[in-house]
Amino acid sequence: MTRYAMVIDISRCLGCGACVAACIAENLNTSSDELEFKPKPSIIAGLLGLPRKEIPPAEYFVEKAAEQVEPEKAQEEVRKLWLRTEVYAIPSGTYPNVSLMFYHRICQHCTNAPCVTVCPTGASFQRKDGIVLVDPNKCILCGACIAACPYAARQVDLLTKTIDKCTFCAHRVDKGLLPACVETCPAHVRIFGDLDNPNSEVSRIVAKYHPPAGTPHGPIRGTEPFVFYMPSGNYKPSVKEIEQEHLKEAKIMKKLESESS
Amino acid sequence: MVPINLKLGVLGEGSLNRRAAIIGILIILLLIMGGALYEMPKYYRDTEVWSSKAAMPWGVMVPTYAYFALVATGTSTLNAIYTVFGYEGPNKAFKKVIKHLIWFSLITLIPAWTPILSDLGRLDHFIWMIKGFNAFSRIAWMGALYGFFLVMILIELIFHIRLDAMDEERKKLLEGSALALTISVLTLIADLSLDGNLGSVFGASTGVPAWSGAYAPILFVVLAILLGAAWDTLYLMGVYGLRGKLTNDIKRFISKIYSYTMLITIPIIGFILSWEAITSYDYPPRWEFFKVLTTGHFGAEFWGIVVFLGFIVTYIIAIVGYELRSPSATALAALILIFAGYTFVYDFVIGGQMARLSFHNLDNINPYYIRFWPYSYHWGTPELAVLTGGIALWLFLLILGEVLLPLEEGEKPKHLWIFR
Repeated sequence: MTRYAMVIDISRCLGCGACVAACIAENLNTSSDELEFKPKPSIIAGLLGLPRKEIPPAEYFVEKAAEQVEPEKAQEEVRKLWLRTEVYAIPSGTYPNVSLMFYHRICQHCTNAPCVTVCPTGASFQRKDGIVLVDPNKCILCGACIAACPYAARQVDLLTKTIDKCTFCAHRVDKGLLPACVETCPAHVRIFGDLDNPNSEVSRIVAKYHPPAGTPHGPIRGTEPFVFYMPSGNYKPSVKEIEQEHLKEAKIMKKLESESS
Repeated sequence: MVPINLKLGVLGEGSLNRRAAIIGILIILLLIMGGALYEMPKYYRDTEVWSSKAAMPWGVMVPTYAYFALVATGTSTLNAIYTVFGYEGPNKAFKKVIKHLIWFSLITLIPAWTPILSDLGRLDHFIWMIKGFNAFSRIAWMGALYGFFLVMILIELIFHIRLDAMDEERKKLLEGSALALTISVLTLIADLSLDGNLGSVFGASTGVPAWSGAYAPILFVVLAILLGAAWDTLYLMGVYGLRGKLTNDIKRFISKIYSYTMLITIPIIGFILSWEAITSYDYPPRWEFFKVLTTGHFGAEFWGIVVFLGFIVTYIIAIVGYELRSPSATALAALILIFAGYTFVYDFVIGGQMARLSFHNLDNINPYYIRFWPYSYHWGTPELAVLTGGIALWLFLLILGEVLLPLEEGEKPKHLWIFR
């Protein structure tokens, strides 16, 4: 059976934020009828200077965005609206012995997902492949899942007034593609795959290094998370491995493009 | 004090002033509700409220809901316990007041449900509470248990009203029957399971260390009984004081039983909290909650209102109330308790989330590196409007019920034929 997981090699992270940008770009511009992958408000696109797919009719946010002239304020607004994944720097030590690490906040797609357990309406659910999703049509926005998630991975979609979170780009994964953040990362920090397939990169890393999941210090309260953090920097993927992954990706993309044309 | 008879029949025969006073109060309450309804829609347009939910999902609506839910079930628990164990009070005083107390429990669901239903972002998806019922979710069970509670308390009220409409022989037969016992036992089950389950809603929130664990359900059950005793005291003093029927039996019942309940439950709550604090010392996320609770803004409230007034002063006054059989002392203790109780529930809910925010933003003690954006919580006017509207509706219906329903001992139904 398939069990999707992600490895985040923190030691390789540059803090460039390409994963966050890719996540926004991907999910903003994805047109899908499936509700769990509903595009985000076009206002975020506007704030980021991305092309707007469609503008929500006379929404409050449009007015509010027009007032946001300072880039810092605009970024803060994006931060409020977009929290599916986030990277922030954690400095430590005192000069001259200082170090910087980047923590990646993302839904952990836990096996014992407390958000799924507490959801009264079944809006939060887990697929057989382990991906945790939210059906906004069923969400009453009671906030129980936010209080239940120890990884702070859930947010409110201000337009639909329902819960929103990382989907592991399920719409892409179902087509055989990698999540947008994984595909975009220039330093190969985020590695995605099937943990039940012993030949997958994720599977081999987890088997060899036993990295902690959930946080760099391990899971919180027995949730069995499936995002593993490699703080040690032991893992060095070969160029061949990366090339193979990108070739595979390119082939799928080509096939999809030819099908659509 | 000029006694005011709240019975509609007598109201009709009474002086113009009395009628005007009651009608005036009802109109004022309706106007408050109208004002609240005007302000309420702003709540649903307020972006700040919803965006803040990412960091702090439960604002002032939730502690207010929890507080009144505990009052409703707590007062009902006390009624059910006395009935199940056959307690009748001095000169059967409990039997004289029971219908008033059941009515109070029933109608106190209004200020509980108003804020919580308003706080749901998508009330239009509420049907999924039934269609998508998740048996593992404590919140889902709250809905089911409220249904059970509502049915039981309505049966209990109708049973007692109809009982008074019967002749003495049948009344005696039914009072000690298995049917009466079954109704009370089922109501007691509904009460306790609701309190325990409400505590479990918080206890199951693994993301908020202040709440999570097994202590919340126990705390909520005991707190409900304490709040029940406090509110029952004030309600009976108010109703019978206004009616000019505060007899010695009722005074003795209030001072003996409700003081006694306070004297039992206050130390239990103190013990649960102290024990939790001690056992949390080695667990930084939970310890952070006790630090938030006992220092800064929350510290003044906690030490001043909850500990000093709610625990120490109330306990001393309750001893006086019990030993001297003084209803005034019991009422004073109850009055302090209803405010201290709300402060505690508010601090538990809001302070618990604040602790999660402050804990996760302090790098040196945060072992997980999980952070929420900096955030402080303030009430909004629309939120206050919802709360005020709910409380106004509650008082309106409470008075209306006292006027329309046959809640006095031996009173036959006159206005609502369903009870005949």
